[in-house]
Amino acid sequence: MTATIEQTSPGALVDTLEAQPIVSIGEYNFPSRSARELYGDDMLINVWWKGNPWFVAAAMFRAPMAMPFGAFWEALFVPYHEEDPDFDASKGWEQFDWSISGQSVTPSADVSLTDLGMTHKAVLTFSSK
Amino acid sequence: MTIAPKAPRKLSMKQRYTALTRDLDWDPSYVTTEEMFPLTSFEGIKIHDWSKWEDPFRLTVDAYTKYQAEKDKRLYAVLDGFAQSQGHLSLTDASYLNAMKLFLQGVSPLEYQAHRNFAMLSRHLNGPGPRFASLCQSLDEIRHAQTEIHTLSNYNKYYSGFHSYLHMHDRVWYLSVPKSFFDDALSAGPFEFLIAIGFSFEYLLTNLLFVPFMSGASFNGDLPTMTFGFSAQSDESRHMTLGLEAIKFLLEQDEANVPIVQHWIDKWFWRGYRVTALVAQMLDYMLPRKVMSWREAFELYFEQQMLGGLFKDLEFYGIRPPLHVDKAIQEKDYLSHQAYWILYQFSHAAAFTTSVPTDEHMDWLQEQYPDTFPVYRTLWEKEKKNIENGGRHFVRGLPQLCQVCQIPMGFTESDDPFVQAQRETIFEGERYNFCSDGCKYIFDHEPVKFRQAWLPVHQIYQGNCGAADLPGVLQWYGMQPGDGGEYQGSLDNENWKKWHDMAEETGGH
Amino acid sequence: MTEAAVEPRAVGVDIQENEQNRPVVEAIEADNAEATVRYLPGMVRISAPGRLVINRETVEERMGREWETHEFQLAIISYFGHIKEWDDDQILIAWDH
Repeated sequence: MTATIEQTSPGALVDTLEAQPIVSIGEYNFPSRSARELYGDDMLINVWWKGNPWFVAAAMFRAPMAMPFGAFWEALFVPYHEEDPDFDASKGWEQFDWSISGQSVTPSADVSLTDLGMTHKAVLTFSSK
Repeated sequence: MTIAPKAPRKLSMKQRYTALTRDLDWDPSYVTTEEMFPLTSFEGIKIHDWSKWEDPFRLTVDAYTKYQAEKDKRLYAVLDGFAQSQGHLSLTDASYLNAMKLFLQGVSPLEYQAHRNFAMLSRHLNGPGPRFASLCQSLDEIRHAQTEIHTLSNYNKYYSGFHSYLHMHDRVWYLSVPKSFFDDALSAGPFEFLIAIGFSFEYLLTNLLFVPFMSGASFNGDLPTMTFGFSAQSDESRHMTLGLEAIKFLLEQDEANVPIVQHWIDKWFWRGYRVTALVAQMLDYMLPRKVMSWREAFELYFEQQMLGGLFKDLEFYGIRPPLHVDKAIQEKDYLSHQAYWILYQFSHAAAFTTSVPTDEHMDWLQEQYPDTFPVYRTLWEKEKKNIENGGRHFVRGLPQLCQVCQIPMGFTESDDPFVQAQRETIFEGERYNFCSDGCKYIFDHEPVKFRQAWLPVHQIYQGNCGAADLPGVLQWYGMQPGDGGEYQGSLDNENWKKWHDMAEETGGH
Repeated sequence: MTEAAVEPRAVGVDIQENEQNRPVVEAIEADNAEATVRYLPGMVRISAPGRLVINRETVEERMGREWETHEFQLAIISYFGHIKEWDDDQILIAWDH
């Protein structure tokens, strides 16, 4: 169900931590309560306006993995961020620089979040140009 | 004084204590020691001689119950007097009670959890000395849960946000912060619990939690809470003794324990410190009459008394101060502002209210934080303009949470107060987000434990919190109209003005 | 700690300020020549270099009735140092290291 993510993809899920010794009574191996599979065809995405302190933390949305960026912008991004009086949605997403895991990405209306490089719980970072 | 006169004793206090506690112990003959005490070997802690545990208070059950009963009588007399005299009207302002709503929802349930775990220790520790000390602490903690609930119950008659604290504690997003902290300790082994709660919480961090709330109460006309504080403090001195004895006992029993204990100190200092963010914002933002700044409290109760005092003592055992303490020190000028900025923009989903600080309040903040408050002042000025234009900064969505401390990730990098810290780990194909190096460190040592975290935002998005929309979630939370949102014009604020017959003046903050 | 004669670290106790505890405070002052007593809102802080002792007999003299050391539980807010002894007649606070 999940698209294959290349290792060079910005939001790639390559392990950064190996298994740790477990100190327990008996068998101890429990699944994540936030696993991607618990969200059907959707994933959780963090959307971070880097450098704007109005929003104290990045936003987290639930969005379909295949959601086109244009739809994401209209249905999720704008209604949330237009609460900042200084945000002008009419300037479009081009007013920002976008990146995922430190790698620059270029959104366009039809590219899906997955194809842009987003994976479950990755951080889509944007900053004012 | 209602204490009965002393009857002549046949045994000295020392002899009575030994006879009624340690001499009641026995070596099992029907089962092995390991079968009788199955929980005390798996953590790798080595104990060679349980009789070396020192219990200086030498309380026996008769003395314990006599003096605890006397403390309760004195406390409840004050609670009655306050209720009968409509004492709540002499609080500095109804907005003060936001601090105590947070306390009842966030802290009182932890007392109950501590009671349960110390009860477990009173059965499962091998030595009679620590078993009896744990039993007394278990009784103390349920006393604290009950007396806190009774102390604050009077306010429930007149003010919102006090009504469903247990229900909320198990469900609400900001309460998952203290709840998960204690669940982490409850699901650890007995020795880790002793270091996590007995030592790190009840000794290392206790004054950072306790003194701000109790002094805040005293400064703002909250006589019941202040009296509760005094009443509980003597119990706390026993708890501090137990915590200090626990760590010294473990360190002295075997050198192999030292690195294990050091790691627990590293984990639990940071874990507990993140919870104190709730206290920091309370001290600097929620008290109409200020006691001291978070920065001052942190410098006195942690830097001076702990780093400068206690850890000098522990050097003897090869223990060093906890990891990431330098970050906590750096954050002391930022923590309260960031924490309140979080609560401010999400209080529409909380059972307490928030408001823009008055100009006078901001001047105090400027005085306390000359280097760092100006940044936050610009945010408050922007919000004031926003309000004038008919807005009110409430976030129209959900925030990114830290996997470990579960706080919205509003803490910033050391070199930039406008850039939130973002840390991550990818483990077995899943990404986890953290607010800091300290929280990442904790996850990276126990990933299989912390991936089980019940994170409120993630759970809401799974549909596990009653509904997909905010009103539905708030209903599932057990919240009622008037509990949350903006303080000015709220139910509590309107009532306060009515009761004080102030038709036009604002209720203050 | 490189000097031969080192100033011992302070030990001490914070006591609730009320009428019942007044004789306890006076007794401690009487029995600890080097103690300093500070009055803060709602409490009395007593500190001394190295050791602090509370003697039952001295408290009883000032209180005018019998007093057991367990009753100190009602007075104490907090303490710093190590409780080295607590028996029928005396409570001793000092430092281990």
